[in-house]
Amino acid sequence: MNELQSLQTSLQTSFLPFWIILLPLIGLIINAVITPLIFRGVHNHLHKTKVIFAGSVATLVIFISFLLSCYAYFILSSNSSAIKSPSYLWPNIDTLKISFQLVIDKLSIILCLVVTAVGSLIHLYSIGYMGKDDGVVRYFVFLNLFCFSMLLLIIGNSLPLMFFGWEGVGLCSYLLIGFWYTDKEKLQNATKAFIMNRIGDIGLLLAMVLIFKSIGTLEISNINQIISTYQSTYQNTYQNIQQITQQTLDSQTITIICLLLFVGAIGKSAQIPLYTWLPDAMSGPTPVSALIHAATMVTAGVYMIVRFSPLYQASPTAMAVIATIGAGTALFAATIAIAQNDIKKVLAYSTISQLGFMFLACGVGAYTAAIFHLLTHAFFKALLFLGAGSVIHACQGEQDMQKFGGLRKYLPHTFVTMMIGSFAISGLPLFSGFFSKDEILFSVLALPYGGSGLYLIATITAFLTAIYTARLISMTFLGEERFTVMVRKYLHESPSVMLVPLYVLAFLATIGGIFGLHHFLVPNNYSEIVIFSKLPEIGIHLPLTEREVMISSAFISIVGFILGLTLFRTKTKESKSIRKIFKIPLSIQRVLENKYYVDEIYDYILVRPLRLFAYHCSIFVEQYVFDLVIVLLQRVIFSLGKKLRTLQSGDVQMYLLFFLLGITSFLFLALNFKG
Amino acid sequence: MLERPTCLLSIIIFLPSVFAILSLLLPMQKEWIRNLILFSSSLCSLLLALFLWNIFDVKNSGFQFSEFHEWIPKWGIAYAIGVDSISLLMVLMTAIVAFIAFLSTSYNCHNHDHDHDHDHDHNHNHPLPAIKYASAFYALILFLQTALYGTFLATDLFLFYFFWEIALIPMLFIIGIWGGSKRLKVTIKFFIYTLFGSLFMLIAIIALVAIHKENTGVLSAQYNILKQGQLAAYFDGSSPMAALSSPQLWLFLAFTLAFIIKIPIVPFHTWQPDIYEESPLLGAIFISALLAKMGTYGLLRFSIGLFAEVSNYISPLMCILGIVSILYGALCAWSQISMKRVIAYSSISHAGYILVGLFTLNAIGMTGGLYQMFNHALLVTGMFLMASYLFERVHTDNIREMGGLAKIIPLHSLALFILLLSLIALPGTNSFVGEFSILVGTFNMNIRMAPLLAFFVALGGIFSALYAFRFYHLIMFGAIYKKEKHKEHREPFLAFDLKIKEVLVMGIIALFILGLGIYPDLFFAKTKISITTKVMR
Repeated sequence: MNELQSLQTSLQTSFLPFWIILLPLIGLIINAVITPLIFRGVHNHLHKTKVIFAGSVATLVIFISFLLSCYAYFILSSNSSAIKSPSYLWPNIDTLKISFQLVIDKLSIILCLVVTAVGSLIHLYSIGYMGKDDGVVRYFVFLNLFCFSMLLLIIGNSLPLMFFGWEGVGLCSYLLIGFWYTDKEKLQNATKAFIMNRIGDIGLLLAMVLIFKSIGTLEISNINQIISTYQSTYQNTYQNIQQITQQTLDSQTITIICLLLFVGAIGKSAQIPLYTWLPDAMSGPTPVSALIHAATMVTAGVYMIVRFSPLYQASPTAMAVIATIGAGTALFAATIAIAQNDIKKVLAYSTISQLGFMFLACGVGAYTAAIFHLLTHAFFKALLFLGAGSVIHACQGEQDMQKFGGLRKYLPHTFVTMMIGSFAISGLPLFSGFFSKDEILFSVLALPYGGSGLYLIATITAFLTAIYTARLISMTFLGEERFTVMVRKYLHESPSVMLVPLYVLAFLATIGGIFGLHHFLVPNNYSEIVIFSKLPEIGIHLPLTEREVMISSAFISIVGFILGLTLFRTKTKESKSIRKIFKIPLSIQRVLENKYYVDEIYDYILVRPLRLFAYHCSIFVEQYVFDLVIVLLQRVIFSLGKKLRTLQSGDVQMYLLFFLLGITSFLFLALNFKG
Repeated sequence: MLERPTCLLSIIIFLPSVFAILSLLLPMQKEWIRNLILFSSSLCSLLLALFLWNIFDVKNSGFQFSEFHEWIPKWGIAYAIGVDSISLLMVLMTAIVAFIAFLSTSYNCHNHDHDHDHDHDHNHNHPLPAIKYASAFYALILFLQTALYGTFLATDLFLFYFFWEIALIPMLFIIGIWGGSKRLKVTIKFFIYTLFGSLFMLIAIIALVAIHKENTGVLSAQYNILKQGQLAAYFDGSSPMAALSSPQLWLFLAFTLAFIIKIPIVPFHTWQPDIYEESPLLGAIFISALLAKMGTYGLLRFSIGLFAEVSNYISPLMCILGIVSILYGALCAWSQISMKRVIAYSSISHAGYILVGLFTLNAIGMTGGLYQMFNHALLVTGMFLMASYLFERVHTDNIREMGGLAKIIPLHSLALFILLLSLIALPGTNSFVGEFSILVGTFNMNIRMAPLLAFFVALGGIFSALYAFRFYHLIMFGAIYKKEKHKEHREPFLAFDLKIKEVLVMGIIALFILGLGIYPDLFFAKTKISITTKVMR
């Protein structure tokens, strides 16, 4: 009988999800244990072999994971709705039973594919980029650990399991930002990233406990199911929901849960006000910025909100907050991006801005559009970062765009692929970014939660996006050569191990649009998987039709891009500052260049006072408050002792003896009195 | 049915004492004899504990393997011991920590001298001094282990008190004789503090027994019997004044004061960083990992177990006390420059979590607190071992005088990193399971301010990350520290990495940290309790 049952469960469940997350772990263990043993004592002459071995192990495991994800994708597209793994109880305390189960469904498979595909490309690229570094094995270990955590975040079926991955990617992000750990500044950036993420995680933790209390389960599918039931029955029979959950659940609680979850998303996805860590996170190696701080980890917040879309659908307030913060961040970061001179910082702020776009889409209820943009963004932003990495690699670590210029000649492949990437991010027609951005713009206008104001902000942001991207291309690849003689001497195009991923990503960034074409074409096999929840009803009274939105956004992006290219193209050795171009006062440029001084404000309002407080706690409060009582007590005892010294010799044994005698007599008396 | 051994618990308790007497008789200055005795003692102890764990019956919620012998019947004192799921975990904890501690020290004692010839004299508080009177030292440690087992297994209140006080004596000698340069001053502080606390407890025990005698006419200090007494009548929570004049409140406070001083919790903690700093390695491990848990165990068993009404009444206050400990300890740890003091304040912070967990008074939070007792014992053992390993290599306790060690001793930095993951309760480590349950428990308390309390408990996570990373960065990362004054002392900085035995020790700890983080039930399944039926009435 038992065997039959276990057979049945083994038929229903599959170890496929386990293998997908285990493979990176296997790679990690090989690189952490076996590689150091093999290459023990080997220093210079075999360094290249070591790099290739470690790198190919790390790449291969992620690639196999990718193949398995593809396999899972085809299983899902044929019939089943979700692939479930066997499970066991993880924390199992009284009513707190959380099963360790992995589930791949139609939403998570998209993210799985993105992470493993982009992940394996970036692993491959890293072999070239990090080849000369001493800590290359450690690097691949961290990168594999990251992939493990990220995949766990995606396919974990319960919130704590998701949180496991969530904190895991935060840890890897910390480790990789501070990868070159001898540099104090990089370490500070790493800590900043981790702490800011942890601030967000408080929201997530509290959301979890609130969900557990009010809904009674922490499994994501159960939560969504209960909420859906709640929504459908809410109008008719209020009692029903209480029967289902046997807990108290009202719309206010749902709003609080949604907002708390969103706090977690804000931290991880770098939205206002917790965004300042992401630009600083650029101090890590560039492939890390591409993988973690552009394509995958930072989109986790968007993923989580889409995951809980039924919950969010039940709370218009939370939706409004998300849309506002998303739109605000998108615009805010785009204005900063225009004034930055560090090539990676431009891309970092661009990432923040694009994430704001995705949150805007979530906030108006266009979850499909958000995931679609997440997908295309992963391709083109990873491409741009890797391209930037290729430039930095060629220019001996130089990141200041004012010292680039005219690199097109020297880095033809990098130039071509980065051009494609920038077309895609600016939303030039027929490139992937165009479709996803357009879909968001239209949804913002059309959906009941959206509005013209948000649409206006989004359009301005799209315009700014085109400008700063074109500025990046213009300052880096076009115009006069501004780099130093030393840089010129060693200038070289990257090796093919770095170029192959660039071209693959360029291809994906170009055609990525077809993954979301369901809106126009008859739903085919691909889009069926991409559509996981039906779009809410489109509003009727629209100022613009979809065609008009498309045309206007195409127009805006083309104009913006050309404007950016021409404005920032220089014929002189001096790069043009934005002040001269836009005729704005110096003070505004300063403010933009210094990112609105937000870092400084946080420093003075939060960090310094806390540090000062902690310092005084450990020095002053310890000595003069808490210690005072015992010191006084000690004084009293000693002064008593002085007076009693005539009676006693002062040795501890005597004191102990008297002490025991006293206690015993007291005891004796007490008990005898009672009878 | 398994045959149940009749005096297993007594054997567990007194086995270390037997070895202690043995070590007094044998010439302990010889390395191999000392190692043999320590190792066999801790191994036997561990095996017995595991055996107990194996045959322990989960379904039985009462005391198992009970033994009862009259001791002083006239005063109702008896030798009564027994084990339930709470004390089972404590016994396992003691056995495991002692095993790890002995395993590591037996190696260190004879090896640190000839690795680098450096000047010992300006390191007054060397954690691994070439130990004088070694036989006495180890005998005392083994006696201490007996006292610990006794405290955790006693089911008679007087017997509990007896073991509780007995545990203090070896500790005083260990610090007072083998401690650092400020040892005497520190020991007196410690002595006054703890004696002060336990005096009240003794009075409370006597009063409790007297009250029980008055009510039922039965003279007994047995836990089970006292628990069934009509203590509820001695508490009136209708108004604060009525509560203040209730005898049960004062009994509770007398017990709790003793426990809280021992843990320690914030206002009564100032003895602890000094003691951690001054005591020798083994002493530090025992006092932080095990003696502190006597306090938390006492809270769970006696304060909450005997005085249910007051516990209920006062639980918000205790939770606030715990939260203050969490945050204050973390903040203080953030600005320390001595490794041991960082560990000390981080322990205060963790003790706060345990206190909050226990006083949530619901099964989830309390079990979380119980888990954290074990997890913290393991963590702090690892931290102290790490600190001593580091000291061996760089000859300083000041984290500002370290830096860049990750490049020189990578295995070491890995081990410390895993410990810190447990310290900041990252998911996937054992502490996450505990702290998450504590958080859930706090939120589910039946008071209005529960969400606020939960918020502050969660806030502790940020602060712990702050000090943990600062600690790690200063030691392992950054540029390699070079002291200008002692140019000749740069040599030890090219230190050797962890040795095989050290790797083994840290491996065991890492295995526990990660293993229990992924599959907690593997180990905790037997020590989980339906606390609501067990402790509460």
